[in-house]
Amino acid sequence: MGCDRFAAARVLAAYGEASEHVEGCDFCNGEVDEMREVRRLYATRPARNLTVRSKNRIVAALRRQSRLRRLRVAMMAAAMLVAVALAQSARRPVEPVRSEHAPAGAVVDVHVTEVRDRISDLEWDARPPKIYLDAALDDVARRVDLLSWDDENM
Amino acid sequence: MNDLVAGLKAGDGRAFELLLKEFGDRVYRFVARLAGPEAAEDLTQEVFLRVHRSIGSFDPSGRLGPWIFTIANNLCVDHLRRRTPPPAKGGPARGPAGMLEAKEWREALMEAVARLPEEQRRVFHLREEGGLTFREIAQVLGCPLGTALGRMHGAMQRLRRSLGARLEI
Repeated sequence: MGCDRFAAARVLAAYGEASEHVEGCDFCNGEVDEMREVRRLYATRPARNLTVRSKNRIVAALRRQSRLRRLRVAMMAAAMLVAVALAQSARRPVEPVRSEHAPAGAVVDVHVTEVRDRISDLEWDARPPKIYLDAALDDVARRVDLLSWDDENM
Repeated sequence: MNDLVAGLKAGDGRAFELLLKEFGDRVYRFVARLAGPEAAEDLTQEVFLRVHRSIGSFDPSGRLGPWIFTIANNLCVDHLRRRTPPPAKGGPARGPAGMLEAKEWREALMEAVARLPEEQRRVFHLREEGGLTFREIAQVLGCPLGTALGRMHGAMQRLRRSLGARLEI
């Protein structure tokens, strides 16, 4: 004879987690008592805990891992800074414009990149459409050419 | 516990030391019973290193215990898969009259626990060594509560049979 329906309830009862049926059933109560005896006997096993040395070893390993993680983050940040610096230096000034009308040896040094940056800074608040910036750059380029032509004709 | 989780997520070294104090022995005992005492120390260290690495992904609305023991359980599973199973040991020696002393009964029980099918042994140790509730055990193993209880019931039946005469109470 068994009471399979309440097997789970008997386990719960053996661990102090309640069941009304179990308390009123002889078969269930008997099995619960036996499970409690198993638990009681198992609890007499020798304690097996981490030694102080083992705990210190684990703490040291955790600290090492933390340091490595911080180092990796620092290296990634440095790599990003280098990448940004390289990208910035790649925006070199445009080669000096040599107008065909300029006298020999006269070099008009036009830093279109710097002009673009300055226009961007000045115009940023108003944020004009790109068309206005392009028109401004074209205007600068025409003035440079006129200056070159003027130098030749003076 | 919320302060502990916050400290762990912030990478506070003292929080990890507290975590080790709270869970270190329980994890060690669970791992030692499941994977063997030789590998227990290394596996326990690996559990806490993984906790340290993954704490960012831990959902603070959950409980730390089941999460940590899930990591421990998975490591033990991997370790047992790689390891060659040790030879089965015989039962404890009996006294002249065939009766066992209390210590020998305990050894007989420990042997019987070691011989449990893996699924039952896992549930047994999560409860007895890990101190998890059955609901938490079900969460760690990814099974329904009824399944966890069924496995424990099966384990207890085998252990009761192994103790036989001693349980004629």
